[in-house]
Amino acid sequence: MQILSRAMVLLFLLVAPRAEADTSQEDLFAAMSERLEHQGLLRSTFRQERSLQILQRPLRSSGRMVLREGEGILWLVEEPHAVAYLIRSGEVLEWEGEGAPRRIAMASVPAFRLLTEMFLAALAGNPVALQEGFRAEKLSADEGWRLRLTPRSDELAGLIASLEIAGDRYVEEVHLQEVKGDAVTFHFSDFSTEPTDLDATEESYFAQ
Amino acid sequence: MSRLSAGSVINADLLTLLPEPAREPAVQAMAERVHEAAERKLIFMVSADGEERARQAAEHLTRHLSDSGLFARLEARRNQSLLSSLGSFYFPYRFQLLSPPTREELKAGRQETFERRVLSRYLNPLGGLNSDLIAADPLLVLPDFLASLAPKSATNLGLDEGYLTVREADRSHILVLGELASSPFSMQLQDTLSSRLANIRAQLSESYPGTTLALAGVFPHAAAGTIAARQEVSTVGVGSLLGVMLLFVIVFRSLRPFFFAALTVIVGCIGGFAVCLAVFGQVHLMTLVFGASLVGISVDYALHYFCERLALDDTASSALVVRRVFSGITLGLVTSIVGFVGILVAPFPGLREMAVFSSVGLTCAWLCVVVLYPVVPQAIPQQGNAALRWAAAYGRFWERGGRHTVWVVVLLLILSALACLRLLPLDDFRLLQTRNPHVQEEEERVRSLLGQDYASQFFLIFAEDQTALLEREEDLIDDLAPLLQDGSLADLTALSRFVPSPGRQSENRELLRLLLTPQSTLFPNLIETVGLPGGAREAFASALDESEASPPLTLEAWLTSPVSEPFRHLWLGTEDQAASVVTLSGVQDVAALEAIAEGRDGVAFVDRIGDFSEIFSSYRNQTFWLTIVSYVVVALLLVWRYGLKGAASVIAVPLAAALVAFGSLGLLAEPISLFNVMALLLVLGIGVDYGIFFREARGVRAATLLAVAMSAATTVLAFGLLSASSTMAVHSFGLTLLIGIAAAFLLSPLSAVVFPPTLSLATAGAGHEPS
Repeated sequence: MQILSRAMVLLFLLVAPRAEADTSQEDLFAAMSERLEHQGLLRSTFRQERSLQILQRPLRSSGRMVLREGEGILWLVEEPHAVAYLIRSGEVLEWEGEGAPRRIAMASVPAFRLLTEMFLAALAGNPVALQEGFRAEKLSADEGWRLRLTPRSDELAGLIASLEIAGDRYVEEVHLQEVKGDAVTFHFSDFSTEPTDLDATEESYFAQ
Repeated sequence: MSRLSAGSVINADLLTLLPEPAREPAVQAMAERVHEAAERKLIFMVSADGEERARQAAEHLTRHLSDSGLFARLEARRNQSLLSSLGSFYFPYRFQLLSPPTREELKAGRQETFERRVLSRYLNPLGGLNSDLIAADPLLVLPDFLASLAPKSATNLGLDEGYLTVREADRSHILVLGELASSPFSMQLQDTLSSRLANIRAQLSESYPGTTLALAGVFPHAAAGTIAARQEVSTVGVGSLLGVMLLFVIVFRSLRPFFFAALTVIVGCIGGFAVCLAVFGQVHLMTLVFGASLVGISVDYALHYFCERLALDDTASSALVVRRVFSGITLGLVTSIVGFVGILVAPFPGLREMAVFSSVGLTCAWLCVVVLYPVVPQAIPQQGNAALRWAAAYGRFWERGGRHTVWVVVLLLILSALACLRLLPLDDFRLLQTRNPHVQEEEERVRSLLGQDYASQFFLIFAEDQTALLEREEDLIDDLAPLLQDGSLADLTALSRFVPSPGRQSENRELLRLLLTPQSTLFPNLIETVGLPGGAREAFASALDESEASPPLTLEAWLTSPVSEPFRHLWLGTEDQAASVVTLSGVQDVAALEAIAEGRDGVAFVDRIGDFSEIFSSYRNQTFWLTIVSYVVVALLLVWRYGLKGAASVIAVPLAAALVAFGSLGLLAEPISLFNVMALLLVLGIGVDYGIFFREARGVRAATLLAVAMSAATTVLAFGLLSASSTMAVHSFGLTLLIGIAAAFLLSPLSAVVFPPTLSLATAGAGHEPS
């Protein structure tokens, strides 16, 4: 109830002068962050659907993910093909088949880095990181909340049309719409915060 | 003199003291270029609680430094279009460029692995995929190639709006990369930059509270080293001056002898400095440090004169006193110079300078005593001199003890010899480094955030043209692949990684063509799994044909494009020769790298730290043998003067002192380097003097003992202070001399007691018969 009333105030403030608009922005992000349950460790299943205009059909994959706050995300794809990724700020590690991971350093590829940080921020509901790059707008939602984010910088606006994040206690959906028509959607479900420690296999990924 | 005031005659780069490693001149010159470029790099890290504040502080820093003319390059903010143009620069050549692992897979015919990897790239949640890219590059070989260009070390470093940024939970760091316009060892640059940085640090903490600035590079170490050396010059100079003055006042109860002694030393120092400047064109700061300790040696001649004067009665003329000490101090001078000439023979620039400085300085001081003292009347208070009485007491201890004392000495020497067995050599580069914990800490903070560790080792590649150069690099890198695989080498950076040779480019294209054969299932599978358009294979085939018709990517094109900017330093070529450097990081096995370069045409492996270690150890050995030769030459000189037995008793003093010094170092667990051995040479020079003084005095005379005691005290004062130096080399030198000279003094009566001179103690003051 409190959230709702605050959101009403915020919506009202959107038409107010810019300075206030910025505070409203801060509150929007804060509201989202407040609603989210921040856990040291969060596990869930995911479904990813990448709709690229050139492909005959959307590229679908699914699996499990482990979000470890402050560390990164372990992304275990099970279908259509087993492959594991560890995403953390600065790099992506990829395990395909046996042996050592392939390390993809992203520091030198700005767009890639941006994408990673956006992804990490969106999943972890880290408002500060998103607030720097995006303007938020509250959309109506049956339950929980739904925000549409649009890039502040021209550089980003040239690539990304919008980023929608929806959820309740956890982020349940992320939808990225590119300017040229390609899009990717992530659905998350079966959240669990237990056990609170990594198991041995997960640990071995994060330890790399 | 104007050069002197500008500070250009005093050199502060410790490495210029060392000889150059044995290497082909052209290769050495190229290696020097790489070193110099590396030395000029300076990294600033500005940290603050917020990113915006850190950026502002970084801009402030850059603004206030870039107008100084001290930097060839300094920028807080990079041109970001540079990096985003990387993709568009390589795009036309995408079918000629393969990442090393992809190339390996295709060469080995592991098409299934390759297919799975392509699929993984499609499934990556952060694939950075879009329809345009897939249309042009359905196998995503270009993103794969671009990712392989990034340094392999895990790093949090990123480019945010052109700022090199590291974000931590509660702090943001901005890195500003600079390149100095001149050597970081230039004292002029050090002075200007240090004072500017001090100002900037103050301004930052005032205008941007909470920000910190940390530096990494050679400059902060070099500047700290200069400050330490300067401080040491003045501490050693002032400290020994005060100590000596005090000693004179206590012993002679008059300042007059002190002023004469000081005059002698000053004449010596000026003489040494002038001749050094004339011979070498410059004087190294370290020579001055050692030169300052010359005080302790040349003051001996003056001391000997005054102690003799003290023992004689008031009526003795100055000329008579000089005549009485003449043979002693002259022989002392000759043997000292013999010691220094030994150093002079060694092809070691730094040591030569010190040898010339010391030899000339001592000769000037000797001349001063011999020529000036006789013409100046000097009187000093005589009655009841306490110092003379103490000396007489120590003298009686030796004379009474006789052979028993000798046995005690023999026992001491046996123990010292045993302790010498504990000695361990140290030939490390660290010898010449000043340990400044503050500078070290800042550097480590920056490096840990940067996550990169460039090795001091590298390869130099030479060839007649660019194509041959790239091929040579590729051959080398192919042979380095096993080391990269097993982790004995973390990463390397080379031109051929950015621009493969033309041959390799067409080879890469042919490898991709293998995926189009009728047997290959790659395209049908990808059409099935990923959903690539049905005509993907045909489109790819025609794109390959098209690329074949266009010219390959050339090194020239890359070098002139802005994308090469961060890596252009790899190219070292000139108009008539192609040359490059392959830089390394995370080197674990130097020997393996050396072996790979061995016998390869146009490839040289350069290991600066290894070079220095080798130089240090070889010169430690050479100096050791030189020292032995010097001892032998001095011994022969003594045989000519004193006969076999007399020479043996004189040389026993420095020999015993040297043994005690090294034994003590063994007990103290001090490592032995070139600089300890150098100190041995001086122990020889000074120890022989002491022996000679006693021998010439024909007995353990109180006046001689006092002169030797004072000489030892002044030397110990000077070198004792050197042993507190923060530079390992100076510390080792000082400590060895400190112990050696103290031992030489305590043992010096040996020369009068072992095989006593036949003329016995007829003229001796103490008047005891030896046993």
